[in-house]
Amino acid sequence: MADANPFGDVLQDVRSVPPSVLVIFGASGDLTRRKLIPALYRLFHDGRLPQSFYVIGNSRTDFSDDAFREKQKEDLREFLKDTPLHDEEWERFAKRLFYIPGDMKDPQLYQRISGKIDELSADVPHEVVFYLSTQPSFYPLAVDMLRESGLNKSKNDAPRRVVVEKPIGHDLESARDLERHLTAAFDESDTYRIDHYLGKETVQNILAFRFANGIFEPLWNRRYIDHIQITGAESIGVEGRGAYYQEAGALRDMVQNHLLQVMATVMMEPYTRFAPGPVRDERAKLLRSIRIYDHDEVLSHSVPGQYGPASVGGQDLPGFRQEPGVKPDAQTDTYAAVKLFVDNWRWSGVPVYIRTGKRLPKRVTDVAIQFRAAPKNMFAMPGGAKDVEPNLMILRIQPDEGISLRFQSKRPGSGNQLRPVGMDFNYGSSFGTRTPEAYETLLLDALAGDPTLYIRQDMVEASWQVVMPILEVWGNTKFDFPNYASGTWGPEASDEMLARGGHVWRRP
Amino acid sequence: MTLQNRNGELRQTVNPEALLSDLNRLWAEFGKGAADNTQGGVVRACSLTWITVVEGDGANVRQVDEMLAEVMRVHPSRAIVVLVRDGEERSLKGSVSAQCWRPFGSKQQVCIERILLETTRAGACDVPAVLRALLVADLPVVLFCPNTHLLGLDGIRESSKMADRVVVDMAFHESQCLDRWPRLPELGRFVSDLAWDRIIRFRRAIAAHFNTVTARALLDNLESLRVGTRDGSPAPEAAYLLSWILHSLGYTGEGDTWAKGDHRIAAGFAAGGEVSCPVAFVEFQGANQNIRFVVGGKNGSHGKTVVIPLGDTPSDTELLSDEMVVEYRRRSFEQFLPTTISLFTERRYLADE
Repeated sequence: MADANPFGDVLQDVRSVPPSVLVIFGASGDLTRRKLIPALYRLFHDGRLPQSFYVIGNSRTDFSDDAFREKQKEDLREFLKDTPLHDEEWERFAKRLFYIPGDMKDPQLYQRISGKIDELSADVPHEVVFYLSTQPSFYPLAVDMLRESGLNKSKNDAPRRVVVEKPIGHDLESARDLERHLTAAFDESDTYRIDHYLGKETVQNILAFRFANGIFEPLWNRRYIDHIQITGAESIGVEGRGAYYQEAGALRDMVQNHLLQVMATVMMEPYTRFAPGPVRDERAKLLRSIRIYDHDEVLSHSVPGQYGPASVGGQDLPGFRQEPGVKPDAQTDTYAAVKLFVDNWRWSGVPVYIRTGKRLPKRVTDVAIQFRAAPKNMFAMPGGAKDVEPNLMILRIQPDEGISLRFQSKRPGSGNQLRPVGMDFNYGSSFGTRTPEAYETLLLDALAGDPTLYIRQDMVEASWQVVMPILEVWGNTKFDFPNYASGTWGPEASDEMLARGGHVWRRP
Repeated sequence: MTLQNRNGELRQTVNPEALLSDLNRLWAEFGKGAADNTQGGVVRACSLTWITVVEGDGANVRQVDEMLAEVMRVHPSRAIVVLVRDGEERSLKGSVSAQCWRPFGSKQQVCIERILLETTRAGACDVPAVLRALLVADLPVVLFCPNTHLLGLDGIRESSKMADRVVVDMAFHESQCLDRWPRLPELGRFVSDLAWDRIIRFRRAIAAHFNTVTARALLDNLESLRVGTRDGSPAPEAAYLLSWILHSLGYTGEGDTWAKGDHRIAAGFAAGGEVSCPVAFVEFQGANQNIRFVVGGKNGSHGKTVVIPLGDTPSDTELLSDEMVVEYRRRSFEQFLPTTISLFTERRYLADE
């Protein structure tokens, strides 16, 4: 019998996905309708899913298969961007959607799911991916029930995997507790912890930018880089999620996961080859190299903030404490700024400033790498300034995805005056093509069994170890909140933290 | 511009510098609109030079423009359309224009520039010198010449040497182009044939099916291979497909005899009925099982069937767009081109048993 697929070269062009069943727990939830189903439909539209591919949705809502399909079609009309929804194509897609209502605590539910998987796999074995899109508090229950029902066990050599959405734990201890449940049911290699930032094209492009272009690597170290600023700003408030957000806060919601992953992507060492092991090893190594503060260092290296009421563009906006479901004396951080250091040979002494917040002036995520200034200024500067503005490289993750470099140029005319100018690479105009949504990339990877862009448990724990002392000190300190108005770039204390290091926040 | 050469012959030709100046003026006009706020401004987008060579009249240029309008969103380029007309006089004319689109939600238009060079067969020899000056510096060059016989003109063949990738379509006026088929590999480092690209969904479906050990059992007991076309005579696409399967499975031979070691199979073409695509089905017949890959939802008469939905078939523009990723080198049809051509010319019919 032929050992290898003689036609396999064709599959090298495309991500090969074997016959698969995706079981979504929490299928009536927001994530499913906004992200998962639109991403699956786009993959289907692009011909990236296998011929034999099915989705089984579950939640407590009592849908029939047809009602579930109809609901998904309605939601697609609202959330499907950049891709047409044709009736004929939808009909073919809809035939792959099934729904099994039931309570996740009910063992019968898992038997019904098992029966459906067997029915769909009658002709050919199907790999199964269980996607936990429920409230995080249900994760341990779901994996326990999958284990007890035997659904976690592979059948006919077709693997079974689990995808866990963030947050992975509420703190280090709960992350480890969840891990105990996960490892009891699935191997680490079959456990996919999602951080959708890693699925973003622009974050992946950071690796291409760094490791496929020889000119940057010599500059990418403490000798040439003065400091790094990472911004993850949102212009919106908590948008009805006040009760959840009150318990989470900005540090947990953004820094512990997304922004530390971005930091690791920007600062990690080159990997030996683009494969799950080497890439994740380097990410994990970087995260483990971030300095962990003692409690008495925390307040000089971090600033929490909370937005107050303000009028923005003529619209009166409530403060966080006035949001529905939020306690009037809530000490939640809706803004977090931290100054971190990576204690390794390459980055020793280079501060990394991370800030994130709600109700900031605009939605933007980017990384600014400020290079050291030229050693001596021999040009006349506007206003008699002594120093030439240093070079700045901006990696724009969203929106206006791209990369720009600021450098000095002589102003036209007599004299020797300089002015900073920008050199811009813009994804939109350079490629023109639509960029896949992060969930398209990540779902396809999970179905194909490629965990490169997923988080490993050691990365989760390393991230929690960085933020835990900050969370503990903040939790034991009463701050004078609110300390920034909606529509501003955060509390003054944050500016002061940078000023102490001779730096200023850039304006994104 | 009209010039007189040393022999006193008058000919119409093009100054590439003048075309580039025209382009600069065009962009300056666009810029004015942005500066006085009457427009949202434009982004001048360019990632490669895309030369398209077509023959005939304005209708063909319009077709190219439609293709350009689709492809430009993925590959913004300086598009140079070379229109070759019949004619004995040595003539070359040029003009510039731009195509723009406004991405959803953006105030700015994204525009690309288009240069039209109109020449006669006799004037085609003047094309390379003009093209050489018009290529965008440092960016890749793709030359698309669907009608392969135009590469028989010296000027067009020389132009193709400037390209990093040459894209042809052997299914376009195939009878005119047959003599150029064996010489495709001579065209450059990267040569693509849309006729080969067109069968990608079949190839993927076959590869995906045989990706399991269970499915591959059939290959050990294979008795025959049939590729169905409308009336049983092969289009280049069908010949490519059969040739690729035989090559991938390691069968060699010609005519009726295809062998791998001691194992022999029959391979040929069959009638597939009314279909809108060049390949209707592919059938692998084994000793006691078979698998048929069909397009458009028709079920096979017996055995197991894998249906390739018609909607999954990429358009020629999509195929071309894929080919414009210049640096990318697929396992190419060139390796088994002689087999493909012999299958195509011998047109061996294999009736259903």
